[in-house]
Amino acid sequence: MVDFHGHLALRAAARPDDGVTALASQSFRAPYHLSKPYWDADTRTLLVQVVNPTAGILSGDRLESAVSVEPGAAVLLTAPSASRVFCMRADSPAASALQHFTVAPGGWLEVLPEPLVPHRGSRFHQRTVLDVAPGGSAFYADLLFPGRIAHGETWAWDRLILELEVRSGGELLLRERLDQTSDHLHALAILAGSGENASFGNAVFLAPGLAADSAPPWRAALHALQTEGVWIGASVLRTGAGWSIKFVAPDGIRLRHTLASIRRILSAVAPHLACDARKL
Amino acid sequence: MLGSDNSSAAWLVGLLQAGDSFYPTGGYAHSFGLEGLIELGVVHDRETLRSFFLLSALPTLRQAELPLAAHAYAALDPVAPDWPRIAELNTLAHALKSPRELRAATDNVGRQRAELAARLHAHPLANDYLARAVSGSWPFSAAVSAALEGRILGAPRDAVLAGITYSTLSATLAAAMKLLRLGQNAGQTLLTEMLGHAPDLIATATTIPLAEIGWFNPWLDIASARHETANSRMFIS
Repeated sequence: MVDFHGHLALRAAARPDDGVTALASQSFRAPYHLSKPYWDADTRTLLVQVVNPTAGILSGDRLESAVSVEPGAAVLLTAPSASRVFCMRADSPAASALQHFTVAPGGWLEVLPEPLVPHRGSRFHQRTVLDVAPGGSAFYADLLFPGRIAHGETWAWDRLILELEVRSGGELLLRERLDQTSDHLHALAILAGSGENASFGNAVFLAPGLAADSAPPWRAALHALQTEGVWIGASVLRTGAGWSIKFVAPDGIRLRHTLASIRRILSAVAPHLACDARKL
Repeated sequence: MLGSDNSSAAWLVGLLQAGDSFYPTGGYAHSFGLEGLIELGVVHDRETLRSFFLLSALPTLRQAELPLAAHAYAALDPVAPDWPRIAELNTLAHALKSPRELRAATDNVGRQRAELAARLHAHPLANDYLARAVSGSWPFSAAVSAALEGRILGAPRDAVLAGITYSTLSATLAAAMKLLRLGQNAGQTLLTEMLGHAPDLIATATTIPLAEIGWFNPWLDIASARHETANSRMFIS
């Protein structure tokens, strides 16, 4: 079996003449592949799809990505399909991913991957660093399914570590580490009544001016999404430069619907969120 | 165990004092997210409270609060305090908590405890700590302040961690007894069971490197975030 040392580096910049965002530099190596970017004139956002043409993430894969957005540029980075982490033999190496996103003042970056699906016996460590300069804006969302729900294979990973570090101008706002065993997270889901197919969303939202309003009206709209088994809570991060938005749904479909509703609500204050990630 | 000269009695009584609900750190005003989970119907009786302790409170101690305190204890060597590391740990303690109320809880308790330590013991380490905290605009952390007080008292690291374990669990239980139908005997039985995990918690917590500190319960974070806007509530957090 081939294990990949995947690499992706993107730098997005605004063209001086018309302000349209373009990829000023790009390099990638399997399993990463880029589709042709699409400029969404309505939201003035460059839609970039990162495609993994292989079946998914396998033992020994090491994926590294670095995406930077320069002043005035706006990017929506997404993927067309879920990231499946496949079963790994006990004596084989785990898979890992290191993602680093930076946003300059006046830049916008949305990272909207499809759900992570850890299969039975998988071992995966993902570390994400999001560093947004003062005056920059970002929306980052991670989705986690409990496994292959349609196959009835859930809560069966061997090891799953999801780390998220968020900085504003270098100042640490958030550092989270999800390292529960599958049994432990399953037990928490049952305790909370979220059920066998509980699915998770973890988002952060940073934008200039957020610190000025500790009780923005959009928070009430987000909290109103808590219906029919969906849980959602938004709270301001330290220093006030950004917000944490966590949500849990009883299944993947309602998780996706909740994320779509979050983006729609926040698009009132961050118009780039109106960009349709499925336009390609 | 006390030494033959009873020299350990000084720090032991100091830790007992600091862990007493009578000690004015303000912990009695916080449920540390539990009230939000009760409002959402997750915790509603002794069994679900027991599950909450086992699945959420103990892992948070083991993976976050106790490792923070252990690293702070090492950095607060009275002979050569590592102040940049202490600043880093206080910031990290806040960055580990996405809900504002949980940060406010650790900030309030941590600040009170550090100021009390300085007032009660007049130790140069406490005075230096407070001066640096003000000049550096550090946030306060209950775990770091407990390590500070432990160092001032001359208590061993693991005794300090045991004190944090007791005060955290007993404060959460005290809040639960105000929010649920839970009697004194049932409460103490539960506390005794949870305290029985302390040796394993401390043994694991002291092996966790700085880069691996952290743990969260998504439902607790959501409940705590929603508690900020609750129409009625008994506790600050």
